[in-house]
Amino acid sequence: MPYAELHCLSHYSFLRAASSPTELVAQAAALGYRAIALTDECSLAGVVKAWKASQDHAVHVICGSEFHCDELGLFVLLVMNRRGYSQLSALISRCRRAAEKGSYHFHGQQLVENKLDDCLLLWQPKNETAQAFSTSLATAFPQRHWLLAHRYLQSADTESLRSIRRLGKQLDWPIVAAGGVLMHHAERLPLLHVLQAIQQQKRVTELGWQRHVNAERRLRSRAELEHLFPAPWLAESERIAKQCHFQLDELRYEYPAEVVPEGFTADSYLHQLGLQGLRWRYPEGAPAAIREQLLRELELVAELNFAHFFLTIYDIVVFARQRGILHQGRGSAANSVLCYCLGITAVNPAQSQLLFERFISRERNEPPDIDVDFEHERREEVIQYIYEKYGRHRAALAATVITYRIRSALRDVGKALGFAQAQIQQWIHRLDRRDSEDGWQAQLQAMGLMNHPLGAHLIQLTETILGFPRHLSQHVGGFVIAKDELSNLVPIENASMPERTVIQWDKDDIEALCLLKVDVLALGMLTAIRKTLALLPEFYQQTQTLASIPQDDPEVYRMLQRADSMGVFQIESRAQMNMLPRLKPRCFYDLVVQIAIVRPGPIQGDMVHPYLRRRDGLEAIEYPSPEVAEVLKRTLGVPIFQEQVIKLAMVAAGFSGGEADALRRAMASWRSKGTLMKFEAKLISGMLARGYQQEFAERLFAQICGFGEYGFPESHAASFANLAYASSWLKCHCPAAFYVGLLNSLPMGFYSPSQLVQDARRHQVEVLPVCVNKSEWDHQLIPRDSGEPAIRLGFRLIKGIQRKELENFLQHRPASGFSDFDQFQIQIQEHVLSSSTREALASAGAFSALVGNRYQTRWNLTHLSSQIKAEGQLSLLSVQQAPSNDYQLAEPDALATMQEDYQALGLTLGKHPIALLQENGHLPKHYKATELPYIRHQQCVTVLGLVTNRQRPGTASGVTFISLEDDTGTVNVVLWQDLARKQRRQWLKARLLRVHGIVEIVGDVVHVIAKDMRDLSDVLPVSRLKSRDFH
Amino acid sequence: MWLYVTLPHLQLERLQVIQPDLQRQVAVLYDEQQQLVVQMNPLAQRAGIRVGMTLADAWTLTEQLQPYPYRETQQRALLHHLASDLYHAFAVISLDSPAGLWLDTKPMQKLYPQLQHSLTQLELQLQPWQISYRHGAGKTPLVAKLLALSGMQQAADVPIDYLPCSPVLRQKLKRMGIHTLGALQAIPRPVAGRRLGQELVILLARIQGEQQETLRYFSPPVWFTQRLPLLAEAGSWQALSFPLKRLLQELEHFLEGRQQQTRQLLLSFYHRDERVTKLQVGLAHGGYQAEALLRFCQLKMEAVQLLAPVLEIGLQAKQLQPRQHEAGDLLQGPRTATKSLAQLLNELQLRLGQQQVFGVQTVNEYLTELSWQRAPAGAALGNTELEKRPPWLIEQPLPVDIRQWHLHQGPERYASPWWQKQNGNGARDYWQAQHHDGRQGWLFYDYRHQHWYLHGWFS
Repeated sequence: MPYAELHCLSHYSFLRAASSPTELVAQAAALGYRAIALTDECSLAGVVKAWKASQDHAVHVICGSEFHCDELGLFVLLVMNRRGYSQLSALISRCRRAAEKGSYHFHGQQLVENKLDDCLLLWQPKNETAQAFSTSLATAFPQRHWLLAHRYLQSADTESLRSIRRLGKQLDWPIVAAGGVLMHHAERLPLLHVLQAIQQQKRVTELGWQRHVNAERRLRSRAELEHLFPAPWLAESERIAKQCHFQLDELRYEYPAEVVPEGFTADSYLHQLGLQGLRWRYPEGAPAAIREQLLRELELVAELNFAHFFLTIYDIVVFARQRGILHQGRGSAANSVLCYCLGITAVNPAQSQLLFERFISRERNEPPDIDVDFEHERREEVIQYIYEKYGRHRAALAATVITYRIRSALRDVGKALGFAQAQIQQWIHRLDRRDSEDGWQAQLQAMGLMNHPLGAHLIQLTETILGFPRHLSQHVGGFVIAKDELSNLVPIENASMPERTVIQWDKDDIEALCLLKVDVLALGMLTAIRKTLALLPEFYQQTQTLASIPQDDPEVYRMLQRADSMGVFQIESRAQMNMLPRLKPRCFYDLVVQIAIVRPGPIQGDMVHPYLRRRDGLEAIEYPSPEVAEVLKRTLGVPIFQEQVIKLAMVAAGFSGGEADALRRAMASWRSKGTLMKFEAKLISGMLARGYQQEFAERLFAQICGFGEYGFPESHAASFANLAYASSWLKCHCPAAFYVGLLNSLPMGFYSPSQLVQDARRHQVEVLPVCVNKSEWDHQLIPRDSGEPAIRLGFRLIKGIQRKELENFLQHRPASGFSDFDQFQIQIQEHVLSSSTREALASAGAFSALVGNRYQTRWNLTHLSSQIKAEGQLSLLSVQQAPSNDYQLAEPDALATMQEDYQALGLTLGKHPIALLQENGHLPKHYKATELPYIRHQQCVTVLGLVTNRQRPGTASGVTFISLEDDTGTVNVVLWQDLARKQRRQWLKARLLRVHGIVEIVGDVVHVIAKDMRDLSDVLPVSRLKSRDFH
Repeated sequence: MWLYVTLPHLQLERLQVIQPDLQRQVAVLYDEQQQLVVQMNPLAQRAGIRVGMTLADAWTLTEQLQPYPYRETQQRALLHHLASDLYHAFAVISLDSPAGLWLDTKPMQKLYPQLQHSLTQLELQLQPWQISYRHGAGKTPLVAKLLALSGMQQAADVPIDYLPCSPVLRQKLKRMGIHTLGALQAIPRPVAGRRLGQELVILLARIQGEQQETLRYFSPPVWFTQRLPLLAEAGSWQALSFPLKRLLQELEHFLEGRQQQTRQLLLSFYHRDERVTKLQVGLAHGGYQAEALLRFCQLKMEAVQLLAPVLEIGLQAKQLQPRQHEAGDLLQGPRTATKSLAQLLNELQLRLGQQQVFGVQTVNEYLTELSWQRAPAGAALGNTELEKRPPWLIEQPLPVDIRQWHLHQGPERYASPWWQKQNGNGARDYWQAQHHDGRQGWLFYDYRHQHWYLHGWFS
């Protein structure tokens, strides 16, 4: 008996169902169903995944959705064709937009009011009164309406079947049998219970009547169904399914038309732009190879019908350029000459060997993934441009599905199973350790989880629930743009941010259907660079753009070789700083390698040491074949970039482009899915067949595994290197402007304002304090007669101050400033600057030009203010002024001043806390950061400093790196695992740490290996010192 | 002179006394709502844990952490209990929940002329408790408290952090360089008040003693104590019943006046040579009528052997509480001497043992085995919206031969509860069936054992 399941929910009906669309489709196929309708509740979030699964199985997927109406009962709508799909999608959007995030407003009446001519209706009326509605429904859905019959083998069965039969006769509606499926297999019943428990915030044992008593809500075999339902009802399901022939891939290739001007086709326009761009990028004439590459790319793009993608991004990039918003493409798009010519990316293809297939390939047949970074402060302008140009009904953000991760899963499942909250917390906290390589299951078992009777269930259910969706959230910057109404293509919901909407599909779904998506991302460094560049004409008598910065400046590379890279994009972290003196970059390509190599992928794949040794001439470079040499020559025979690995698979093991791409994907997710192992045999045998040694093949595979998801594509590294070089050049030649640009763009980057200011002063840049007379909101450059300009710190640094209020105050400030404090008090009224802001300014020492003692100033500013409610509900502030200086407070001493500085500004321009504490005799004898390079290798030393950074990279086998800041610089401390465990209380939370250890000097890199530590935080009077922990 | 005693780890330390193993472990009490450490033991201190730290941070410091939830009600009860003990030595006590109390030494001056005497007495009273505490002495209650909490010797040195003022005010003072109470007191009061407000002025007045501190004074709970010497030596329990009855009647009178009942009686039987036999009678449901109480005491006494003749009886009733309204009478009909349900339950529990008397309640569950639970005696029955179920349920399902039965209604399928270890993943199909001889039964087919069983009878 042929059967089609017409009522089925996936886990995209959050917390109601226990299987994924893929599992449901696979099981339906295994059971020999003709078709399966995915009818999630007011949602089409899962249909793309179901459709993808149906490509691999012999079962047809029908799109549909379930709706609940309190008065009238349960409705299921099924889509017949493309028009019906739009109708359903529009209805869902309407219901979702009318309610807050996560819910929907639906009433059965909407089925009559909205046009749903190409949909089929299945109905389960709630009670007798609801039946009155049946006539309107039958009229609205002529020949397309059925009563829905379920059977769950419960005591209510007999009665409900009887009443459905009766109803069918009474109303003259046909009846169809359906499963009301919530899971694909009975083994998911425990998980279904857990989901119920989570949703109701109870334990499984407390669910009472609500709990599903049996596993009948699953995909049942046709034999079982024949026992349960009369044959005509089952036959009806096939009749219905036959009317639904819509396939999701009918949605492809519907692109917005605006981007193509009159008289052109998309391809011809792109062709023209490409050639124009070629002339622009290569005014001296492009090399023949580049020109050929461009034409090849254009041909491929035309063949695959992807021209609109490029044109849309081109349009956005032109907008940004006109507004002076800095931008740069990243990722695989940088492999493309076309993108370079269109101005989307900035990496000159002539300089590096790029792999266009990484970007687009015939086999993959996926749309290009073009990510563009914009200045983070101005990204919103770009977003608004998109909304304006296409309209809010045609553009929306893609969704990110928030899924269960290990912590949230353990917590929710544990609670549902009745574990004590404290116990779960304990396990979760102990799991955080990245101490061992064991999976979380093994760790939990080691913690004694199995002693609990439900321990095994906890592990098993947690495993299953990992990856289940919990809710939809909006993607960071991925926009979908439709040809017409977006809601005809995919349902739109409200996001949690006001005025933002999100579609129900995520990036993967969008890619699968080749919908047009553009990624508008934010990068802080672009903002900083623009702000720095803006200062050059006035203070450095030159003008530069990102593109015009002089390349290959040896002074810049010398600076980097000294690891003087604080504030520089991508190479400022502790790990990068340690690599710079070893790798000693001398040219642009060295920077590309530097950026790519200090990442978990190459480190775990053991590429780093061989590369460095070969670079230093300590190891011979050998290539087993000319093909391999071609791929690995530029990185001295060591695979460092993702593309090299792929190219090797193709060249040495005979992988086709598509197979190599599958390998790349497997690499990207191999840790969680273990899919990489499938390729091992093929790779090794392929290489052996081509005459390579077993050892070489095995080593390559091990390197691929090490790479995992962390290898960088070369093009991506090159894009980043571009910005790294630009920011290095600016730091080298215009340091004051560089620091001001950075400071005015925070928060971003690796370092705090305190560290950046200290770095500036170490570079002989004068830094002036915040001053009520001289400062602006932003940090400013002050010209000096000779040498670097000075930096005047801005009001934005002060904690607790509002920008609007302060800019208002600046309007009232006299051009020459205030002559004394009383004048300030008189001239500036309460409504211009509130007492709390004045007090904040006083604590920051902003009044020091007018009156010395900041304690006294705060005293003079402290007033009682009371709010009076006037009739019009406006409250007035009335201040009772006490006479100034009615009491004398002592001046803060140096330590107190430093403390006030940190509390108010987060930094001090006075003596460093370490220097002050040392002067006051609070600190033991110790070596300074600048003294360490002169110490003999392996000597015992004592060092101490403020803890600014604690890091435990997963690649470093339990080693922790601690950065200690003293008054001369930063000390790098290495902490091995057993000492870390033994002395945990000393270093884990310390703000000031003393370390006895052994100096290790390798080349120019100095470390202290810790042997004993002591937390000296009690000596430190400051509370507002933050460290960057465990990133 | 006021003494303030602060007991920062009271609850945990009492826990350690009951469970001595805890002393060898890193133990903390934490607030469940905010997940913060509130009390800890010395080992925890050594591990670097601090009060106010989050539980997550505490976990990172040591894997062997033993966290227990902090219970506010228990803390209060402990403090009360402590105060009751101190009441033996100090007349004027004021509680400062959750972890401190004041002692006024002035009224006790005749007994303890010097402060040192009070302190010694305090130590004596607290010694059996085995808890840690700090004390401070000052002319005003507030000063005493500040000194105790901060550990300073002089009021002027007390840091601003300990002042009971709003955080805003505290911040203001610190940002002006005023870090100690002394520095604050140096400012002329009207000047300070003008700038910093009324709150500060009142606070300073309280510290100086210019403003009275409103304290609520502790009074120990009232209880009943009486001793009755016997006219003649009593050698058996029966001989004691008459004098005991007299004492109980006095108790009934005492309780009647207060409309209270008691949950515990302490009987003391004094023998020659200063020996005492003590007997505790617990009444789960409370009682106040002399006759009833006598019966309970007799029940208890019968279980114990009288070791020696009794010269005097003592009766103490603690745990007094307001009277509960009677539950419905168990016995109906013309009998005039009715017994209340509470009384009956008390008797049963005393006679049979606490654990043996319990009630039954329904649970919202489809599965028969799970659909009822034990409940305390006298509890309400619960919902009774049951499905079609046989009135007579067989406790242990009987295997049957299906050929003798004719199934006519069903199936109702129930998956066995997977969270109970012994069940595994079975399922049962329940049917209403008729036996050949006409009886209606409730059968099920068990998929795991692949057999039919009888679970109940309909008629």
